[in-house]
Amino acid sequence: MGNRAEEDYNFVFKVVLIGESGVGKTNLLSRFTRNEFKQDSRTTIGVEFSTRTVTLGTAAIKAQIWDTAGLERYRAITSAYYRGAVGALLVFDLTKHQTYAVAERWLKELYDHAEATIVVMLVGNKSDLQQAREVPTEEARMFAENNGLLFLETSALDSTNVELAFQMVLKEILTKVSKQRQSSSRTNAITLGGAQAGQEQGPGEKRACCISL
Amino acid sequence: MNQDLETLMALERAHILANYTQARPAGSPGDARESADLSLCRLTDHHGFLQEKELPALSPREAKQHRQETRRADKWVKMLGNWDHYGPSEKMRRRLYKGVPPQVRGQVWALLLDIPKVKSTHQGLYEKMKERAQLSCKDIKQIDLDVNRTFRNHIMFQDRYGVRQQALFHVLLAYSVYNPEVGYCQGMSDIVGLLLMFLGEEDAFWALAQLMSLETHAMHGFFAPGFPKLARFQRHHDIIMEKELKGLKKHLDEQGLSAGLYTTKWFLQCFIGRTPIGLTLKLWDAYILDGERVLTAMAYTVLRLHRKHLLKLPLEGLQGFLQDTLAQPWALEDEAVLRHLRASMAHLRRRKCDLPPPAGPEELPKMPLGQEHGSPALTALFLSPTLESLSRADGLASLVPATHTEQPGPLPRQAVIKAEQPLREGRSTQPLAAPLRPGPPGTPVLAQLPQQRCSSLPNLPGHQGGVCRGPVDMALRPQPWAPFPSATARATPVATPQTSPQNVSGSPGMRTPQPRKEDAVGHETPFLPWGLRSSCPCVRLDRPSRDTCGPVQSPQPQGPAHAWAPLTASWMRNVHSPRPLEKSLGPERLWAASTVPCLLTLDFLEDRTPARRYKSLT
Repeated sequence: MGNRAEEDYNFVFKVVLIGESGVGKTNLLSRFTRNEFKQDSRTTIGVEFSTRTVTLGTAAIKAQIWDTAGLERYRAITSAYYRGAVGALLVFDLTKHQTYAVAERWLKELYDHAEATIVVMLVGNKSDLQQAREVPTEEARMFAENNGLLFLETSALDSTNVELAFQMVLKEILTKVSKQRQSSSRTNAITLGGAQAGQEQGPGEKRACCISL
Repeated sequence: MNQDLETLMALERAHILANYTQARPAGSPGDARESADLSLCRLTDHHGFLQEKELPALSPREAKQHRQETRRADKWVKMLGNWDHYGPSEKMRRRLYKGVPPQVRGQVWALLLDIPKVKSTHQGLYEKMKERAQLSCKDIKQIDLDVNRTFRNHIMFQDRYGVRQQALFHVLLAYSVYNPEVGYCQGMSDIVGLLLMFLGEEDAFWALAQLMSLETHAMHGFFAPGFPKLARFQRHHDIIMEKELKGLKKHLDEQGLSAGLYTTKWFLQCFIGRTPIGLTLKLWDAYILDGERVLTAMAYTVLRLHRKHLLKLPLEGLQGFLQDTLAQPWALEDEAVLRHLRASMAHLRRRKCDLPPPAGPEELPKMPLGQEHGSPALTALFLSPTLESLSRADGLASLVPATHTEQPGPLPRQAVIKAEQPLREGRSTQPLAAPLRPGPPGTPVLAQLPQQRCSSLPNLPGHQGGVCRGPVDMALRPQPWAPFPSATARATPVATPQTSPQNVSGSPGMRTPQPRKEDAVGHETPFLPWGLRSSCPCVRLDRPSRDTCGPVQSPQPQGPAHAWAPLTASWMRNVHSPRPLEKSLGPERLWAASTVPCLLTLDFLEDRTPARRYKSLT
């Protein structure tokens, strides 16, 4: 877990992992936060989360990644946790076209419950299974471009692009935050639960907070 | 477009079913583990879970626990022999809260849930549900996906499509049509997996049915869409926290950790995966005996026991502790935890907050269970998913003349509880909604439909005599489709409802529909339409699978499920005789199997005579 005492961070970014059941959300999370891949991972019931602090340039960012159950029935529970998220990874399984075909519905679900400015990345997972691919890279890339999403193909199994995917999302959020700060003298930051840990760290930028974009 | 979709669904369904129903060929991953390789025994822990490292010899404490367990098992055997006397006694309750020895756990659970009685009352219903589910279950894909993720580190479920995975798959499938309001919901697979560690397949089904519908457990409300009971329990948990653990509640609130974040698995699955498995099983002993009050009390107990530590943790630490750390071995012994649990239950009862307010109507089943739902016409399509029938787009339309859902009227023996009827306090084995027998004559019964169609299914291999009209390089070569188990089951007299004297569902007045003209498909060589070549995920059988997991990675079985070998008649005979895991154990493995209690107790369970209904003293 990311509860390291030495953690010193400037921002807490809440990022949600969404997508159909069985696309590999939980393993993407465990690969990113613990560098683990579990062959026998269990289904996610409700919501779970893990954190990891990464350094981007001069900023230390605590990524609070919320993993959600993919089953439609659980959306009654999980969608409540989209609130306050500044980033989202919409994951599909590139060996199952159906998980990609519903991306639009997931996007709608996300925008219904989260801020419109949320940074979203479309992630085609299981890229290690090239021979079983059902979603062409270009098709997914086009969809992402048309909808203003970032796009990357990953493999939680062999680690390909997992680190990069999260970093890209966090970097994009950071860029948005920086722009926002430049355009407004007043920091439009709200402090959510869990941010108190960093509040004693110092004034100004050194204050940990979840950013509302 | 719709037809394509239906075709795809039928193909997909047939493919999934074939995986679970075909006999495991020699050289399949299971075989290596079924050989007398004793190193596996040391890799399997007391509960049947596989360990990465060889287990050390028993510590003196563990050895003592084992001896104690054996002594307790003797006492339980005595109690089970005279259940009418001991069943409702305080002695049994006291012993149960010390933990039921694994050797007898299955029997105890079965008796507490009144399974022998329910099973004998509804003889044949499980098989019927199972067969119907194979034809019409909407959740089959999700169930298949989740069976692959359920207790894969347990010796029983590590083998993909192995005997116990088949049982798990079929129980979930059958329940999804038995109770279509709940259908299948993630979380149920772990529960059934846990039940299957100690119960036979049909008993596990009825155990699930009882857990869902008994007043004391009423898990229906936990898994019904919207999770109404979960919300009610989480609200009540907050009330208990406010009353009893005010300081901790304040801390959790400040950190932003709501009850919804950490109690979902606690309540939906009674702590499966959130406490060490040994403790989880003991909690399940208590849960099966005392029902939902164990959930509220244990949630309170967990937080009370770790209050001081939790008060020091920030949000991430809190979540990590409640999510992961608690699943590691506890400093406190299981028995001590159970003592705390009992004390908490008594305490909360004194404080009049051991249970939340009664359930609202949204938590109760609205339809009778075990009923017919869905369209017979659509079902007819799935009965014979030969590629030829699926490929003929025109034929498809004629097979589905008018998709209409039959709405059977109220049945004479309908026992659905009235929505406004409040839940009674105390233990009762009366289900909220009793499993129902088929309706009066004239009620459409899906299971009756396939009668004549299915009897022709085993002949499918013979249908390939025609000329292949499909292109030679198509993704799916023309082969007869694997039959559903229902097909072969029905071909044998024992499984035919009419010949089974105990089949309560074979209503004499039932009209057996005559086979329609379209039913007589099968005289042409099956082929797949062009359009399905690249867009049908299920037909790409030669794809390397991610399904295998566990410490022993073996090559994919080369049986008919995975290769293009035609289905021969001799192979067909094997379809229903998968080698049971327990029978393949040699004598040298038996001592190891004793650490997996269920293996030895499965047969033991099946013939228990119905016990008198259990009544709580509380």
